[in-house]
Amino acid sequence: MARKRISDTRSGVMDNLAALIEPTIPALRRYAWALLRDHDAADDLVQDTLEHAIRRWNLRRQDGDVRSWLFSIEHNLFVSAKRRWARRGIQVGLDEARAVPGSASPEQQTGIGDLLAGLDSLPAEQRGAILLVGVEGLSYAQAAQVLGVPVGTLMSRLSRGRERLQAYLETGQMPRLRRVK
Amino acid sequence: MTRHGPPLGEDDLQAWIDGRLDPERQDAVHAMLADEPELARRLADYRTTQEALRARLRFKAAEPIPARLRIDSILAAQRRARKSWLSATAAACLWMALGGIVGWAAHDFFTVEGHLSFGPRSSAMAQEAIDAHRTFAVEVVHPVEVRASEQAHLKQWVSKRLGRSLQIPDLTSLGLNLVGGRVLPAAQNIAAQFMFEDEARNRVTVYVSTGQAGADDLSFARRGDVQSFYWTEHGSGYAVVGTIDRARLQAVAEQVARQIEEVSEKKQG
Repeated sequence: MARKRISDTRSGVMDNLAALIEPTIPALRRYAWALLRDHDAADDLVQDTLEHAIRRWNLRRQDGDVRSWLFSIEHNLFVSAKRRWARRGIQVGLDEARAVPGSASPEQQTGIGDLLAGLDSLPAEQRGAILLVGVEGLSYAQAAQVLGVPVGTLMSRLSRGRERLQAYLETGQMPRLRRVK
Repeated sequence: MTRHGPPLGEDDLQAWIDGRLDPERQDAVHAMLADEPELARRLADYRTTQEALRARLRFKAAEPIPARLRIDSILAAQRRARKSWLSATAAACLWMALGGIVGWAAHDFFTVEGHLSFGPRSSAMAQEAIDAHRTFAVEVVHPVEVRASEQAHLKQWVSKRLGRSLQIPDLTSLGLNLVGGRVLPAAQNIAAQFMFEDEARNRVTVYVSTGQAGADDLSFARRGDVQSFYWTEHGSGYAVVGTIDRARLQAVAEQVARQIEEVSEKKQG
């Protein structure tokens, strides 16, 4: 039976699946939280990502990097969920006043609101670039792949995003949009 | 600056912030920063901000992983869902079998049994796809109803008959060109078959059938020399069928799945 044979190979695959996916879960949770700024919503996004990844395990590029593949799934789910929420009129990630949990020292605390609020007010694609490269440590090529853009586009998003974030931190407000170069 | 190599660009500066400069660019960038203290200060600020952001988000990755995000628990939940589906199907099959025993002579029942599928309905779909492939892939004169030259019409017609917008997969990157397509009867629904052909005249068909519940992952079926990778997604069943070697067929299936995924993601927006 063809069906039977598939089940057999599948159980073998499932053994190393956990070993390959689980090391990335902390990073997936961090990226989700940085995008959504809500712990439960972030874990929902991660759960969706993992369910998706398990169902698609056979479809992934065999030679590809599992980590950036997982980030791609997560990012795509985030983007499509955000569109759905936007259609229903729910605002996402704009609640800057939300108390930020986590144990931060007082001197960190002073800059915190600013840093995360600044991040929140960036366009999503610039935020994604900064987080994937600067926080998650993906290579430029991997981050570009996750965001579905050429490396050149990633670099300019990174550059513009950093510039805007810095301007926000220094002045407390977002610079007006302008063309760079 | 009298350095060799291409002139410095914004990406060199970003790479400096991230500490990822190629060794051969390092000297040039450092020389530039020595000449331009204002730029150097700005880049150092970016780097500080980047480090602060990393530090600020570190707590999230350090949290213990909640039980519901363990691969084991997700696998178990998926298995439970599959099992309840299978037992419902098995119960239905049992009732059908009982009906068969009551209504028909025993030998009639056993001859039917060879065709009964006890797997999820999608494997019945795979059989239909294989049958359709067997029927039309050998055709020389009329392999398809609408030829690739009328691709726009084909897309429109098939979408109309299946009642949903269908994208014809593009498999040219795998050396497979569209021959054309047709509409076919399927169990209770309508199915579409798209035929592709490589330079050596090997044919691969992509079968799409509506009204398939659930979302099953990629499975494999074979009948004789005809093989199929099939799955269900967004209420439709998909099967990629051919006699080419299994790895190549799987690559085609992956490509088709990826394209469907992209289209449906776009549509959700």
